[in-house]
Amino acid sequence: MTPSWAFTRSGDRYVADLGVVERAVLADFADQVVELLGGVPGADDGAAEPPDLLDEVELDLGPVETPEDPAVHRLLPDGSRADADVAAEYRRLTEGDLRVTKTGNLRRLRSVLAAEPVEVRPQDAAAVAAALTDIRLVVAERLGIRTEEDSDALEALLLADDGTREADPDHADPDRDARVYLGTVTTMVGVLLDSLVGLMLDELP
Amino acid sequence: MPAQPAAPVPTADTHEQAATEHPWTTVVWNDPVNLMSYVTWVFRSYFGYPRDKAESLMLQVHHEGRATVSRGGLEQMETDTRAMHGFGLWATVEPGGQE
Repeated sequence: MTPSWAFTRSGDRYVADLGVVERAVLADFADQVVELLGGVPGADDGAAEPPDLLDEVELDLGPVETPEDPAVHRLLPDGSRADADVAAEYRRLTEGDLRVTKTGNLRRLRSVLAAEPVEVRPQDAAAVAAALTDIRLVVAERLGIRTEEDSDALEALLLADDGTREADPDHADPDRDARVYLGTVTTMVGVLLDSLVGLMLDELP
Repeated sequence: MPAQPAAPVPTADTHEQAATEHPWTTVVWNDPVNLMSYVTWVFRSYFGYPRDKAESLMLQVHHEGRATVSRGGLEQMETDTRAMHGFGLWATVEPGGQE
């Protein structure tokens, strides 16, 4: 059953009824992913922003290393598995541009999160969907989700956690709490993404 | 083993022609995080595939771990792969003839 806060169509916009806490959480994650991509966090694409590192980086056509951070690597994947030369050339030619595109998408998400209710114009839907996807990818990597089994295990954890555990310092389990929190965020972003994509699919000829 | 009619023997020309036409492919790999609806949307909107084909490719990715989503020259496959990465899908350029 789709939650009431998921995206629905309202006139010529896609609207999500997210409260101030949800919007702040999502904006925070968007900022974190922008930072991972080498951008300056906290700036949406409407506001005057401080100089962005990416603005100063000319398309550097020297060799580019595979990202060490597995979350960044997932956002900027290898261009080929069978051909190392193609992969190197691909990264050299596209990584800078890909970082800029993804940062732009996340800034667009940041912009729509600034208001309540959250409204997305159809022409911005793809960018917002891509940004939500990248947030899910990063959080999933941090949670160590690499297979369908990992994903199922997280779901089981979330279902088992009914939120009634008392905040008892003697029985605190920070790791489990962190996983539940990140897992909940993953689920929330997934619901938003799925509802938005449903509306985007309706628009296709 | 039942007798079978002789199959046409592929000639060097046939292989060469196929390799020239589709020397490279774009392969999308399964990722448990990508939503099936989103992957379908990407295949429909970027490649313009009709719904049945897009869903079939998406299910192939989901069940078989990978699907070849386009074929052609190296530059076009790099462009397609770059687009897939922009959407957050895991895709690679692979030499053709491996499907």
